[in-house]
Amino acid sequence: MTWVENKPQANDPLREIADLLRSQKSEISVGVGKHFFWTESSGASAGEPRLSLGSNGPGSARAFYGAQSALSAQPSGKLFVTSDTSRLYGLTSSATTMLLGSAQAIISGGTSEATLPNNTRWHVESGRTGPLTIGTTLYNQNFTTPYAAAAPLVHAQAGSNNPSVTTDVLMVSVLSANSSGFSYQLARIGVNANNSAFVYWRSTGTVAL
Amino acid sequence: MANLGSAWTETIPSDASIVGHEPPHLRSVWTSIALGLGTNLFWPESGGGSQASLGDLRLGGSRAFYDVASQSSSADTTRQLARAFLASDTSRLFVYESDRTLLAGTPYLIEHGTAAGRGVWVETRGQTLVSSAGTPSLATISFGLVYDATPTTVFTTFSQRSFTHFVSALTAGGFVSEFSFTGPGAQSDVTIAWTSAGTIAGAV
Repeated sequence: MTWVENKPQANDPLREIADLLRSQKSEISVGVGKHFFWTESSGASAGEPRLSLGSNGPGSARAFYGAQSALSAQPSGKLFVTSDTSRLYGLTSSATTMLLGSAQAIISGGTSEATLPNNTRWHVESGRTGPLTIGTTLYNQNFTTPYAAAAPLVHAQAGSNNPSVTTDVLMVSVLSANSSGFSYQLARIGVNANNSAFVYWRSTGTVAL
Repeated sequence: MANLGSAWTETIPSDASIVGHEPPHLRSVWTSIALGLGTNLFWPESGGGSQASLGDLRLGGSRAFYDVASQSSSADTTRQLARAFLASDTSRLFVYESDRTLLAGTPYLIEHGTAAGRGVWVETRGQTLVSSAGTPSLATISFGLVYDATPTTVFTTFSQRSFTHFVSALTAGGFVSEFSFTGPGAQSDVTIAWTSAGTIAGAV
């Protein structure tokens, strides 16, 4: 059986119609059924995309695939995988493209800290503060967006406010952190030429999706 | 993209239609079906495909939900499983699992400057409480996973003031931090916050 569009003709015998209709219905079922529920499903789900297992797969979805330079306006919601830069884009009808994924994206390993909780995403904040006086003062830094219940992991690095002095060792320690901010102190080893320093920091944690 | 327009009529044939009119009508039905399905599926004849590829998906033959993020819902787990949602306001791509919504893509992703070969770039992090008895002290910390090779970077931050520290050894599975207390005050155990980044083959 094959798909035909030149039948029936005006002079074809009537008895061929039934066979033609069965054949065409079968072709529709085979073709549509590769990626959509059809004959084996209830009427309510006929036409819905199949999951990978039952599809002519894997998966009843196929993104555009081409060089990144070929990105263009498409019906909103279409996806595009670039063959040259290995990126995934979301397309819109206004030609605005959204970078969604990349083969060079840095992902978070799941075996340190907690496994990513339900309906959350990773969130990073960073900043530069200062110059701040070096000593025993306890400084506080608030996050722009509070993290989820767990405190984020915070890194901090001291930066010189007096680059001409090369004899000092500047240190910053993060004494505590919670979901809304962290506390830190600056210290120095050296000839006391630096009395202030900058602090570069980065926090990594989770927020609601 | 096919626009069937008036070519697709569901009112004919009617009970009063003449049998002799049906052959051209049926042919137009086949053509309309081929044109319509041929937009996203390979379909023979008017669909532009071949008999061998009948029903296969064309490139671009998928379309995510597209709406503001607040409209995303995976509540109907039977029908929503594995569907995709592209948020028009936050530019995020969500996919629906059976019991949760997952973030699958975002323009805010951080892309490494070099390729990871056949693997992926992975960042691990943790906070480890270590003993601080001598000067210097040594602490061996495991990443919790093993990279394909020595990771490209490790950062450490200490929870107490007046520690000098550096990474004295680094392997695919962990690192050794060497640190010294410089005072003033009493030396005590310290928490090391650490982050590493490297590549791992395949999915994580």
